Amino acid sequence: MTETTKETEATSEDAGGKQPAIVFEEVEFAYERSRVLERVSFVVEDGDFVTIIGPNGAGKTTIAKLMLGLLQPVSGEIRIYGKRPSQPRARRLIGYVPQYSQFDFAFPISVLSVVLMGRMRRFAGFYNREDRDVAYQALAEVDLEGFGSKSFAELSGGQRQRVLIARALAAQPRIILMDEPTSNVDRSVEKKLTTLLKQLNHDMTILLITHDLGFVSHQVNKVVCVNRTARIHPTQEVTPEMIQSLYQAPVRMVRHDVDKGSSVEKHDTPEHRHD
Amino acid sequence: MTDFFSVLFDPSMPFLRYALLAGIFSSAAFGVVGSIVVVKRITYIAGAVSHSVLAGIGLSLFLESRYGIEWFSPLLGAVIAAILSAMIIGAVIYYGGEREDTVIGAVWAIGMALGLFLIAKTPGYVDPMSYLFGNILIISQSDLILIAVLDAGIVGVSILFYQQLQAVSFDEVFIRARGINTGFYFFLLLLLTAVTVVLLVTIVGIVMVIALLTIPPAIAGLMSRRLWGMMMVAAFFTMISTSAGLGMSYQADLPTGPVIILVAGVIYIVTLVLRRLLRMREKRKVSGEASSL
Repeated sequence: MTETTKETEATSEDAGGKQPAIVFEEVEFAYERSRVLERVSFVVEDGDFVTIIGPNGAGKTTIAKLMLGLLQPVSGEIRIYGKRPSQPRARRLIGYVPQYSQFDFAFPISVLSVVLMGRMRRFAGFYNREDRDVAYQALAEVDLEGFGSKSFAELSGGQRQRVLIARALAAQPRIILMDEPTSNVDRSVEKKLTTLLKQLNHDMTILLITHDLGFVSHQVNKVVCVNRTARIHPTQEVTPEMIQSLYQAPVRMVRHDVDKGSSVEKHDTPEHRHD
Repeated sequence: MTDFFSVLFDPSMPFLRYALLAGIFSSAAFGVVGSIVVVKRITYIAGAVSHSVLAGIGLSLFLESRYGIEWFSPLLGAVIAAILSAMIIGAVIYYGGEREDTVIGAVWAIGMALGLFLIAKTPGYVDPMSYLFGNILIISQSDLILIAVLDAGIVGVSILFYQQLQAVSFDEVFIRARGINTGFYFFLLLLLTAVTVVLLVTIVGIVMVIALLTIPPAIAGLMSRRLWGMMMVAAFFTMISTSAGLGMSYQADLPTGPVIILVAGVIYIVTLVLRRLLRMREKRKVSGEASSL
């Protein structure tokens, strides 16, 4: 912790033990010459269920990669429970669930081996009994008990997705970060996923990157809208229909209700467009 | 075939024994590394590395005949050239910047050109054919020992890092997000590939390295559900291909490398056809049962 800046020490003291899960403060990011993110600031509280939405190329994936410590911001601060994303302790706090459709389905690997990757050692070595127990438990949590010795390749799309969630759970994180969970899944799988995520939300912070608002609107309590910059909106009183229409229409229709103590700012309308 | 076996056990003719043992020893490394190369889809890197090996061989031949340097053997030159080219390609891919395929193509061709240039400048006549298309029969006892040592090293390291190599091949981003140094494993895999390629060059020659590295894992992939299983089956088929290829080439007086590759290729095609037939029979059975209901 020696390298932490004064500001973070201050914020963690202010939090009085309960730190926010994720803090973005004036984060800027650019690939080579093209600027991807500008002055992104938002706070995700511990226990939140948040969706990150925005059009293609808006910077959703970049935000995810910044949280995971895979990219470094050009300027600004990012904190995961008070720690920098690149710190090993911060990395252990986030369980990442990538899009299942990006995998090579011909890869010869067992479900258990996939889940055990959440327990991977930093150097050479084998998994121990505890790792296996945790992995089996994670499989049970996603309702895939007894699937350990099956091949990843022979599972359905929805099952593969749940295996990847189990892998994230095996790392025993405090945050689950999920990338496009509803691309290429049918309604019944979606429903099952909703139930599962709701369950996980009891003791974990959930972040979903998605374009599918209908799916998440029932349970999210905050929405981060990304389009080069980002805003966070509480959604407690917003109906799915409203979000849907808000997403498609110019944003001046969105009521950005400001939570007490949250980082939500008042909007200057012209900048904040979702289309 | 009796001819082959009588020569095999003839004490005055060790070259055939060495060749057979070299093939058997190195099969394990080929199966293990070949399987990872196939599932990680970096066959083209192996191709570039194998061709740039000629630069190392050329340098060795040149130094020996020009300056009488004997310790720098062709095999050592091959090892250095393979590792160097693998690391160059790895650095380009890992640190980005240039187009991957362009750099791979460049390393491929430059290595080859450098090798042919050095061989041309070597006094006396050197036939690059035996390096390009392999000559398993020129393996000496000391080569055999080196092959065995390299093979044991490759297999040992692969077992030690099996989980990590598998994970990095399956989902590099997740592993990196967990704070594991995936760059280390990427370069380790390239190092293993480079050393394996050198072993392959001694057996089938530069041009056919990719074939022997990828065909047995491709066969194994048709019947394996786990990476380690794929490795073992691939090693088995490599052993069959090299041994049968050696026997047949000796018997019919044909070049060894091509015969080994053809044996592997025929096994691959036969396996594909058999699998297709089995699938069709299963389908017919299922539909037959369905219609009888």
